[in-house]
Amino acid sequence: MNVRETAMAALRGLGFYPLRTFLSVLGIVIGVASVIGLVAIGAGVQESVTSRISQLGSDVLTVAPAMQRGVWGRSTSPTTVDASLARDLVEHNPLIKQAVATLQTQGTMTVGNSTLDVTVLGVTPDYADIFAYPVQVGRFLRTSDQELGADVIVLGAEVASTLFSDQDPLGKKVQLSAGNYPTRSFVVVGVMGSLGRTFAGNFDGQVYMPASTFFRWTGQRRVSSFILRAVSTEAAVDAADQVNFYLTRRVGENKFRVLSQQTILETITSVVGTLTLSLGAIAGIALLVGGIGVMNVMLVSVKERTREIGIRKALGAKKRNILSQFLLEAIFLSLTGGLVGLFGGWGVAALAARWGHWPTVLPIYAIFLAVGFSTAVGLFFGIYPAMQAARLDPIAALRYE
Amino acid sequence: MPAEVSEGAVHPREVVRLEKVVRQYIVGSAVVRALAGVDLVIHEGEFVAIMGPSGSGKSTLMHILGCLDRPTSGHYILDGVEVERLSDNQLAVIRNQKVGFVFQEFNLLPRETILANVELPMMYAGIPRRERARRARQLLEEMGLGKRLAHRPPELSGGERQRVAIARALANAPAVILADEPTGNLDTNTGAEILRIFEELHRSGRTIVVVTHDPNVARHASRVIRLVDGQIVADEGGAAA
Repeated sequence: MNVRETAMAALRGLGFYPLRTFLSVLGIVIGVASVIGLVAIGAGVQESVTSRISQLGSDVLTVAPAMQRGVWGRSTSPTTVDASLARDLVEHNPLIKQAVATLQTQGTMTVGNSTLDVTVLGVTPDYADIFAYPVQVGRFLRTSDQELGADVIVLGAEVASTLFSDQDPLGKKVQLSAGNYPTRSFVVVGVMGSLGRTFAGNFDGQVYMPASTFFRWTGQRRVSSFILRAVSTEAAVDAADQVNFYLTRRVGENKFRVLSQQTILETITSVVGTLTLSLGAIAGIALLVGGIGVMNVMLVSVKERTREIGIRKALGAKKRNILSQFLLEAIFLSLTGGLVGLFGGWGVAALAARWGHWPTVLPIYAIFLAVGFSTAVGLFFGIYPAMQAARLDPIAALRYE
Repeated sequence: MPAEVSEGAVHPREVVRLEKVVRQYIVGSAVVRALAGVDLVIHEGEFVAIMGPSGSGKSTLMHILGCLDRPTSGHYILDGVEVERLSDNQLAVIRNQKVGFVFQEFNLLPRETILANVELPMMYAGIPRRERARRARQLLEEMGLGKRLAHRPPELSGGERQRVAIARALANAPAVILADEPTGNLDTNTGAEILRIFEELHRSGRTIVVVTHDPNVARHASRVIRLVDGQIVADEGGAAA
């Protein structure tokens, strides 16, 4: 009697009671579905994060005021923190190639009858360069704009398409109001291409003006963040350390945070990892319950089929024939649950991915995980009932009613 | 006696030899002797009926002959193999190769086709699938069931089921066919039909042992052994006796 024949006998054994089979493996279905769902969701989130980060360029660093630490740069005067600090960051940190200070506020832009809430950034011309941010029409800010403090503005792709739809925005005047600042008029000189949503914000919903213009308009010099670019991707992590050290001496400890794409990725990976681990424990409990279900149904099955076992033994079945028949039956039982759970978990992950706008990723190892887990559960919880079956005395088993 | 042991042209081969076989059970503090020293030799081609009232030990004798049980003491040689010291797995092989069972309750697997039922002993013998199916089909055709190969036992009448069981018993060409009240669950006509099959098998040279309490069954046998209180009290009709 070879493996295939034992397998066939075991499979037929399962087919006799479909409802009971299904109910007994429900725990395994749930357990495997949650494992697969978790792994797939984790992988999807990770992939989405990674792709957003690589979109930004992994040599970009951000220096932001520390959260809940009060106002940025309070220990130094506002003037030193603005343009000069950007220059100093490049001068004193050999691993930093470029630095841009950004000033930021929320505003409302009006063109004719249409208005739109936008994020207003006061930046220097380097800004587009650092992010490899392409111009769609017109041009980005120039050094001359910066020097003159010209009332020019460059629109993000979404802003332009919302406010101007199919009209050409170049040379048009827009009204901008923000907070308590006076409403002011700007001339559109360029529209940027689309970068989409990234960790540095939604580029397409922003508008850009020279930092000097921003200051003249708002009187605000408080820098929202510095965008830095390391000399190379490989140097990004070291550059972050260097900047950290430099700024700690310059403005004090815990007043800022240096974020590299690396650190953002690490943070998110560790959050996803922790989540997966804790939910994985729940999945483990479901698998345990499922295993007990399998054991229960197998014990009932052995009892019910005592006579069959007696007949098989009388006809020459050895202990291991009976053992492997019932063990395989238990494994098939939980494997069936595992496969149903695999597709169930996949479905859950696909739904979650649609909801959260990340790709549905089902790693190959997850499939092995599902198959492996359910096989192991079947093996572990099936061995005892199968041994009971194999140990039956043929005479007693044949007499069993 | 020694003349019987040696194989010669005149005397057919010994299939079964029991020497002082004792089988006792411990029930609570009492010792029950189901078999109290049985000596028995059965030759190839004999059709033996073992009779006795209930409690005479004929079921126990049947189990020992069929290698489902071992004697407490004494020797049992089946088709040249001394089986009393074999392990459970070795006994399983002996049952598979040398014994064909026919039970009162048929004992077919109800959810398998009759073809699969007849294939079962050959499957445990490791005979290849194709060969197995061929032999099972042939045996069932001989039993007049060639058109019902895909049927399952519950769809068949009692007589048909017992014929499936006989086909299954013949599957591995065993040294001995052991039948335990083979007509016990059948009406008189069907029972007679089954007994005719046993007679045919006897004529074709098979060794058959039937355990029964029914004198009508015993009449078909060439030799009748009577068992009382675990001992043989009469042995009639045997050519070698």
